Amino acid sequence: MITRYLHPALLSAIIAPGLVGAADQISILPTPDGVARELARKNVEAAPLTITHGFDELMANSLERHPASRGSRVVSLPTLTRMETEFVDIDLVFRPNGGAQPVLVFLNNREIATLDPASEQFQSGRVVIRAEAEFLNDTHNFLEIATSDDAFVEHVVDLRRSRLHLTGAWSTRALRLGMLDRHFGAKEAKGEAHLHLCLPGSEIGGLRQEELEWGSIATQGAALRMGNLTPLPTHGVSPDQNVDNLLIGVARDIAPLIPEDDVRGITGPYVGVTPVPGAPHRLMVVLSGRTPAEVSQSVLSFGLIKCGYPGHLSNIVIDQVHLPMTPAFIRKPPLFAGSQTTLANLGFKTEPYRENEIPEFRFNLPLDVFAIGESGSAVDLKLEYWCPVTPANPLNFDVMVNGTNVASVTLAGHSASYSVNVIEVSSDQSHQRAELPLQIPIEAFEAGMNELSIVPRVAQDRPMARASGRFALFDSSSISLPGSEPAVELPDLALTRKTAFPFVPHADGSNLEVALLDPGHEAVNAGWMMTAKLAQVSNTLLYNASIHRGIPIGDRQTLLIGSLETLSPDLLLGAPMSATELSYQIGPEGGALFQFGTGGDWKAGYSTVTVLTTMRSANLMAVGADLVREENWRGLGGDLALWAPNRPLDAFEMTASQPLFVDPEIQPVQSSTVLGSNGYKIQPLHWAALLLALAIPFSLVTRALIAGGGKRPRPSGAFY
Amino acid sequence: MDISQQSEEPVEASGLSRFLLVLIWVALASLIVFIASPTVEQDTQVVMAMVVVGLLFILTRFDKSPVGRILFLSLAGFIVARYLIWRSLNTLEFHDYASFSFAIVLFLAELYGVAIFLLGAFANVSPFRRQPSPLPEDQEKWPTVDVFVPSYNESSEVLETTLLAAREMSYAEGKFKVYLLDDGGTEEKCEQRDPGARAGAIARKEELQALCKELGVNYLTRKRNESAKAGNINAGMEKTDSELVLILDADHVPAQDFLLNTVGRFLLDPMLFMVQTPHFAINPDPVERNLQTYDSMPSEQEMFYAGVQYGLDHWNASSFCGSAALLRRSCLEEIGGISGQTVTEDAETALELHARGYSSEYIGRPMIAGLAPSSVQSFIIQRSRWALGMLQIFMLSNPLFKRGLSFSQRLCYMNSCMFWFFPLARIVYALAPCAFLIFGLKIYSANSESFLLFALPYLIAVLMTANFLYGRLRWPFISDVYEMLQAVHLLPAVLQAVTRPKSGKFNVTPKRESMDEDFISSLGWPVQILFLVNLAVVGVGVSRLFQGTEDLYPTAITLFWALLNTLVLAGCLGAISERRIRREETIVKVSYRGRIKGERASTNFGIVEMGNKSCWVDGSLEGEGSLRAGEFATLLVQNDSGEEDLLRVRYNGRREIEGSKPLMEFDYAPDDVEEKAARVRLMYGDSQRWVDFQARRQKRHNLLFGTAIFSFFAIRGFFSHMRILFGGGERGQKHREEVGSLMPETTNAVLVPIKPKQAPH
Repeated sequence: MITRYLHPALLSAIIAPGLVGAADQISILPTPDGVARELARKNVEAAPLTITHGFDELMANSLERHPASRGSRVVSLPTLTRMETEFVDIDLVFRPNGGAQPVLVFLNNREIATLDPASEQFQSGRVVIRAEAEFLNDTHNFLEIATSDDAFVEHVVDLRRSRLHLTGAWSTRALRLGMLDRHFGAKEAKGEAHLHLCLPGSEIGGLRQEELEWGSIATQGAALRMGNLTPLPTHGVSPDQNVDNLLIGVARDIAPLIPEDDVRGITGPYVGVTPVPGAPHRLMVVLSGRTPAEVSQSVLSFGLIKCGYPGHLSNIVIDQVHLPMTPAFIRKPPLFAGSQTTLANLGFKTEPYRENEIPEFRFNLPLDVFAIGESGSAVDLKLEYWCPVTPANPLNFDVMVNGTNVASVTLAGHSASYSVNVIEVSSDQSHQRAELPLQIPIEAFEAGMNELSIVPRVAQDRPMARASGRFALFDSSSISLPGSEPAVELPDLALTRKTAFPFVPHADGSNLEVALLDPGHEAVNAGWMMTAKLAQVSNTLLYNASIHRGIPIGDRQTLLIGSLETLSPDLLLGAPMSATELSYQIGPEGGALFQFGTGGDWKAGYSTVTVLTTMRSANLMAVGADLVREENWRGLGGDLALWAPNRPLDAFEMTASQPLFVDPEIQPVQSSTVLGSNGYKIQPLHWAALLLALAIPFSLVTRALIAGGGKRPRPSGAFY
Repeated sequence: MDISQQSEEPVEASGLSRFLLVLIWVALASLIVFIASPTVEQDTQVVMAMVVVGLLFILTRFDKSPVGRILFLSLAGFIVARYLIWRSLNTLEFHDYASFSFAIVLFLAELYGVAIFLLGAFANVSPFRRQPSPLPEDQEKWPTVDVFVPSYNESSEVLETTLLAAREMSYAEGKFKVYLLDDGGTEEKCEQRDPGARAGAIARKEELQALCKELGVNYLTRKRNESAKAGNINAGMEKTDSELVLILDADHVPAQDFLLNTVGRFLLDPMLFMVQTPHFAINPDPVERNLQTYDSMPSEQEMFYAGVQYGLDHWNASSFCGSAALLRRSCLEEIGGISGQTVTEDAETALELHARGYSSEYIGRPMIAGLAPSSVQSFIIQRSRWALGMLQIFMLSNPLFKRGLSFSQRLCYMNSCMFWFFPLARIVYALAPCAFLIFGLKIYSANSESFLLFALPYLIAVLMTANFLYGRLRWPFISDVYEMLQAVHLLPAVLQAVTRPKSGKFNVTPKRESMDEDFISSLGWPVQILFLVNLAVVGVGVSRLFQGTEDLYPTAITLFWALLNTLVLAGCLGAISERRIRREETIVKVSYRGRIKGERASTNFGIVEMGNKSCWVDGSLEGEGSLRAGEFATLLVQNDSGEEDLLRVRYNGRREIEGSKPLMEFDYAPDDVEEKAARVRLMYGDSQRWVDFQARRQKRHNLLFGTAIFSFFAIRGFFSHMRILFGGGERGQKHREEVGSLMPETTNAVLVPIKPKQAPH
C-alpha cells in the first residue's frame, strides 16, 4: 500500500506521477490575451487554470506558523483569493536512498497521506497527492511534510524539484465588494505587500494635491484590511499587471481601463471591483466619481472599511459618506485606563485546556496607562479556573506576557502559590472553580497590543500533554488596568512604534502632517506607506491627516520624508544629529528615522518633528519598506534609529535636552460617523414618506376590512 | 312567541371585493414589514425611530377616529416588527450554554410579549360600544326571563340583598321569576355523615327557604352537588322554562334597569346567545385597598370590562364571565347546558356556542354591584382558577383549531387564553437583570447604539400603545404590579394546565384571613424575594458604574431595567401589605333628600351614606334632645323617581367622620319586606350611580405623569410594607374616621370594603 488515505473525502485523491513539468516561476494557464477592455468585460475565465509553485520558492516566502523541527517542513500555500481552487496536486520528488522512514503529509494540520518508502511509486521517485478544495481554507493554508523519525526532510524529499499545482478557475465571487476585506486580509498570510495605485489622471510632472490625499487614504484602506502587513505602494498612470491595483480618478480619466457599462454606471461616488486589464488574477478596486469631490467620497468610503459595502454587488454608487463620532477602530479598541474587562470581552471562550492549545489573548493597552507618575502600578489579573488536582499530582501554570514569564503558579489541591510575587492562596480549590488574583507590574506590558498567555504544566519535568482536560480557564477571569496620569515623555520612537503617538491623540489623524520634501515618486510612495503604517498602528483611518509636498506648513505633529539633501538646517533645529553627522551614519543605502521637539512654549502646546531620511531620494521607498518590516519596526526606540539593507535597525537615545511632557489622552474625533453608504441607503425623509405612503393606505384598507367584516346588526351602537 | 322576529339582516361584504381587499392588505403589510428590516443604514434608522415615535405621539390624540386608531396601531406594529426582526437576527449569540439558555428563555418571553401585543392590538382595533335596545311597547312581546342566583355557602344577609334587588328589577309583570339555586342545601349536604355539618346544612336550608318565602322568590335545590356551579345552574334550568336566563352570583346585586337594558338585544338577533354586562365591584380589591388607589384610579377589572370587552364585541367574541349575563335558554340546551372540561365552564360554553355560529354581545353599562376579593389570598385563589381554566381551554380546546370559529374569533380567544401565560414571562423579566449583572450571563447581545435604535423605540411604542388603548382605564405600570404579584402563585396553575390539563379539579381552599389588623400577606414572599434580588442587582449595577466597567452601556441599561423592576416590586410590596378593613359593612355614598319623623319632631335631612345595616344622615331635629339614642324613627326618602320610600330606623347617636361634621347614625329596623326592598332599591337600584363613579376615575394621563403617579403609589406602598414589617401594623381599632378621609369629597357612590368575597365552589 503506497498511500494510506485517512479521510473518506480523500478517496478522490489520485496518484499521478509527472503531471506537470518543472517550472520555477509562477506560470498561469491559459495565458490571457486580447485587449484589456475585452478581458475586463469578461469577468470570469471559463477555462481551467493551473498555477504551479516550486517548493523551494514557497519555502523562501513562507511565513512558517508552526514550529518546525528538522523532520518537518511547513509552507504556506499561495492560494489566490481571485481563484476558485478545485484541487491541489502535491508533486513530491524523492531522493534516491533518502531513507526508509514513511513521509507524512499534512494539509492545514490534517494528515492527508502517509507515503510508504517500500512502495513502488516511492521508489520510482515521484508521487502526486491530490487534495480536494474542501481541505483548503479561504485565506491561509499550510502544507506540512514530515518524516516520521525526525530525519531532515530535505534528505528524503528533493524540495528543489518538488512542485505544487493549484487547479481551479477565476472566481466570480472575488469580483464582489463583499470579498474586498478577505482579499486584502489574505495578503498578510501570503506576504503580498506590493500594491499599485493607478492614477490615470495625474500629470506628467507629478500628482496633484487631491491625488496625493486620495492615495494616502486608499493606501490606508488597504493597510487596515491587511492586518500587520504594511502595504508597499507604487503609483503610475497605468495599471501594474503584477500586483493588485487601486484605480483612482474621475470617470473620464479611468474610462479606458474599465468596461463601458461600468463607466456609464459612474453616476456619483463609485466603488467597484474588476480584474486588472490583462491580468485577470489580479484585482483592481475602482474608486471614482464624476468630479474630484465624488472621487474623494469614494476613496473615503474605501478607507472607512467598516462602512459595509453590499457584499453581493461588484460596484455601487454611494450617496453619502458619514464620518464617525467616535474613533472608528478597525480591530478591538484599546482598553481604558482604570477599567476592568473580562477575558470573554477579549474574545476568549471558556473551555478545558487541550494539548497545544495555550489560552492566550491579545489586547490593546492605552498609552496613558504607562504615563509617568504611575510607576509601581500594576495590572490586576483575576484568574478564575477549574483544576481538579491533588497534592501528589500538582499542576503548574505560567503566566506569560509578551513571551516573558511573569508568574508561575503551582496548584496542589489545597493551595496555590505563585513564584514571581509569592502569594499563598489557601482554600479547598480542588474539583471546583477557584479564583487566583495576580498583580503584574505595569512594566511587563507595553502600550499598544499585548499578548497574555496561560501555559499549564503538570509538573516541572512532565509533558504538557498531561494537563489536557485537567485545567480550564473561565472567560469570566478579568483584567483591571491602573488609572493614569495624563502625561508622557517625548521624543520616544518606541511610543510611535507602539501607539503612533504623537501623531494620533486625535484618532482621525487631524494631528498628523506628512511633508514630502522630495518631489519624486519615491517620496510619495514612502509618505503613503508611512501614513498607512501609522493607521495600522493606531488601528483606525487617519482621514484627516494632511499630506503635501514641501516644507511643513501647519501646527501639527510633522512627519518629514525626504533625502538628506532636502533637509535644510532650519528644519533640523533641535534634531539629535546634524545633517552632516547623519550622512556619515546612514551610508549610501541606509536610512534614519529620528524625532525631536521643536522650539516654542511647551505649556501652550507641543510640537514634534519625526524625519524619515536616506542619502538618495531614489531609495526613499525601498529604505522605508525596510523600516516597516516587522523585525526593524520592533526595534524602534529612543529618538534615533538607523538601519541599512545589510544592517539591522539600531535605536539610540541622543537628546539631552529637556523632555517634552504631553497629554497622551486619545481624543475623540471631531466630526460624525462611519457607515457610509451602502446599497440600502435611503434618505431619511424619503423613508418617512415611504412609510406613511404605505401605512395610510394600510390603515384605510384595514378599516374597510374591519367595517366590511361586521356580520351582525349594530343598531344604536357607536365606535368607542 | 318567536323572540327573534324583529332581528335585522346581517351586513355582508361582497366576497370578491373583500378578497381583493385582503390581497391588498397582505401586500401592504408585507411591504411595511420589509421596510422594517434593519438593513437600512444607521442614520436612517435614527430618523425612522424618531419619526414613528413622533407620529405615534401625534396620533395619540386621534384615538376616537377609527382610521387614526388603526394608523396608530399600524405604526406601533411597524416598530414592533422592526424590533422583532432585529432581535431575532442580531441579538442571539452563543457565548456559553448557560448564557444561551437564558438568552433563549428571555427571547421566548419577549416573543410571548410581542404575540400578546399583536393579539391585543387586533382585539382592540375597533372597540364597539353597544347601546341598550328598547323593548317593544307591547309587553306581551317581551320574552320570559328566569333569574338564577346560585349559592353555595353565602350568608342569608348577602343573599337577601341580591334576591331582593333581583325581585325589584323593572320588567313586565309575570314575565320573570327569581330563583335561589341553593347548592348548600342539596340532599347530599343535608345527609352528610358529619352531624355538625349536616345540622348546619339543614339549618341553612331552612333559613333560606324561609327567606325565599318571605321575599316571594323561588327556592330550588338538587340531590347531589355535581359539577359545582355549572351543575347547579343546569339543574335549575331543568326545573324552569323561560326563554332567557339571567345568571347572578350570590353577591352580584342587580340594578333595576338590568333587564330593560339587555333583553331587547335578543329581539334583534335570532342567533344571539348571550348579552354580557360588566362586573362592577363596590369594594376595592386587595391591591387597590392596600395601595389606597381605589378612589382615584380605575380598577384592574375595568380594563377588561370597559375596554377589552368592547373590542371583543366587535369581533363577535365577547367573553362570558359567569355572572351578570343574560343567556338564551335554547342555545344552552342545545349544548347540554353550561358545561365543559375546564374549571372556567362559562368561557368554554361561550366558545362552544361561538363555534356553532351563535353570536354574543356586550353592553358596557355596569348594572350589577359585586364584591371583589378583599385579601391577597382570595384574590390569588380567584386568579389561579381563571388562569387554570383559560389555559385548560388553550390546551384542550384550542381556539386556533376549534372548528366553526371565525378567524377573528380565534385570535380573540387566543388573546384571552394566552394572556394567562404571563406568569412565566413576568418571572423571566424579573430575573433577567440578575442573570446579567450578578451571574454575568450574556443574555442579550447588542451594543448600546443598536439598543437605542431598536429596543428603546420598541419600549416607547409598547408603552404608548398600552396607554393609547387602555390609558383611560389602566395607568402605566399598574398591570405590572398585578401580574408580578400573581406571577409565582399562578405558576402551579399554569404548569398544571400545560402538563395535566385534564387533571382533577382546581383546589379551592379559601382560607379566611383575619382582616382586623395590618399584616403582610402570607403569599407575599415571592414578591419580597424578587424585590431583594432586584435591589441587589441595582446595588451591583450602581457600584459597577462607579467603579468603572467597560460594559458601561449594558450595565446602565440593565440597571435601568432592574430599577423599573424594583419600582414595580415596591408597588407589589405595598399590595401585599394587607390593611385592616375598618368598616365591616358595604357603604355607598348617596345623596337622597327627605324627612325624619321622630316621636316628637321631624326635620328635613340628607342621607349621605347607606350601608346594609345602617345609614348616615346629615341633618338635625328641631330642638336638642328631641331624638334620643335607641329611639325609633321613620325616614321618608325621596327616591330617584320622585316618590317617597319609607325606612323604619333606630337612632344610634351622632358619629364623627374626620374632616366633616358629625352625622346621625341610624340602624335599619324594617317592619316588612317592602321596607327592605326600598332600602335595596335606594342603595343598588340606580345603575347610573356606578356609571358616574367609574367615569370619575377614568382619566387618561400621559406616560410621564402616569409613571410619576405610579412611583408615588409604589414608594408609599414600600414604606407601608416597611412600617408593618418593622413597626407592626395598627391593631384592631375602630377608626371609622380615617376611612372617611379616604372618601372623595363629592357625594355619590363611593364604597368601602366589607367581607372577603366567597370563593367559588
